[in-house]
Amino acid sequence: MLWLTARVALAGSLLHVVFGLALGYALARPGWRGRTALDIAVTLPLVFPPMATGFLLLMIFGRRGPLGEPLREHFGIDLIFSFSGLVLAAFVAGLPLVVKPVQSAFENIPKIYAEAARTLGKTEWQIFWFVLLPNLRNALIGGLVLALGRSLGEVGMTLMLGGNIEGRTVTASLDIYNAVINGEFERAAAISVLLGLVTGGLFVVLRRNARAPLGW
Amino acid sequence: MSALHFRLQRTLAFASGSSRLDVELTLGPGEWLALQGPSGAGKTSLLRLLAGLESPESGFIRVGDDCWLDSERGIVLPTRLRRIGYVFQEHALFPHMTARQQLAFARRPETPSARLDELLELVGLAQLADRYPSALSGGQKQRLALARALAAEPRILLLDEPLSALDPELRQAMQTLLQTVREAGLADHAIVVTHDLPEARRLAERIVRLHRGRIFSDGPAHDLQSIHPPLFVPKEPPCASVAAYS
Repeated sequence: MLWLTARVALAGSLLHVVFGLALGYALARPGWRGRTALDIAVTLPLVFPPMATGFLLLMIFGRRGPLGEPLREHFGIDLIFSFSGLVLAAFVAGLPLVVKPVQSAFENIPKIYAEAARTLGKTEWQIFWFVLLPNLRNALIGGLVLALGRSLGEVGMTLMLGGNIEGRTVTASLDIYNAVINGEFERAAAISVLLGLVTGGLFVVLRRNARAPLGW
Repeated sequence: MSALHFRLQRTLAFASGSSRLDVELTLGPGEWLALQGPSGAGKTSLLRLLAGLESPESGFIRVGDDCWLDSERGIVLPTRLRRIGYVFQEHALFPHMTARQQLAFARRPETPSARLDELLELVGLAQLADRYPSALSGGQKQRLALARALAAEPRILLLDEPLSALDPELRQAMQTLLQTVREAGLADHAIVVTHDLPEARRLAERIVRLHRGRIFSDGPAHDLQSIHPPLFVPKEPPCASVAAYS
């Protein structure tokens, strides 16, 4: 269960880095068609009840869903009630917590840095990696830590997409829920303390990161 | 070294209205030009158009046989290929890089890294090479911005009011440094925006004054009496060949 939780957290975080940067960058650029729709879609999990978001995703990625069916038939990918479903739940739950600070950081980096880099002969890709990215390090790491904390504590979507199958899709948070339902309060307390230590450690990382100089 | 010849046209929009920038100039090999004029005259816009940071409505830029811009033929060389050294008024130093890292970032691949030490020495920052911009004074930041621009081995140096924020003492020192850069021939051409006439005369061989986007006067810096409006009309097509850069 702990190993499964760690794998889900790791996979979710990797997806958060990639999609957090890409979506944050895209949303920071004004004036393109579909920006508002994407912004709403990304922010929705933050305001929508997790159970309802989970149900929506179940309808979309379920075996007969508009995306679930083609994914299963053409690529053999079955997202629901599997490890992939858990990762999807962690990813969706934490995504706005990464995208929003990254978007804000992109918007706040003075345009003149990119202009200066262009005059120094740098490509847009080099500017992204060597000029923009180091300047949003705090926002990215902060967002990742918050998203990780959110995905570790996620129950509603995980229940919907993972199915709470013993030995296959029970994460730490779901195990606390199961333990309480079964009256195993000591077990629930032990896992709660463990999760509390992990999230507390993440908070310390976040605080230290905010004080460190910019760059990697 | 080769001549720089350009004509750039663009509408300048201000809160109080708009005016049309239309400037044509030719700079001889190694020539340093001071650009003066009131706010809104188009000085910074001209530098940004030359650097490719903004697009003109029409115009051309020719550096020797290389064409950087020809709006009629649809040629627009991107900023990164123009070999421009731009010293911004706000320095635009990267906050996450030390002084040395800024120069290393700007360095062209074929330039030996020892050149960075020479440049840091030139601008008097050799002892502060490991400092971040936040730990540098205004004058040190300005010198670092100049060194960074030079590290890219520019053909054209564009200096947008590089000394405006400095106190008189630092200003004097920076003027001396720019004179050293000019005498060392570290750029084929330079255009310096400055409001200060003595400074313009010290830094450049020629002074051009802009007013509402047009050249108001143009003449040698050593003889202000002989400054007159230019009457140059190009007789040849703007760009003979497309620049080929690797």
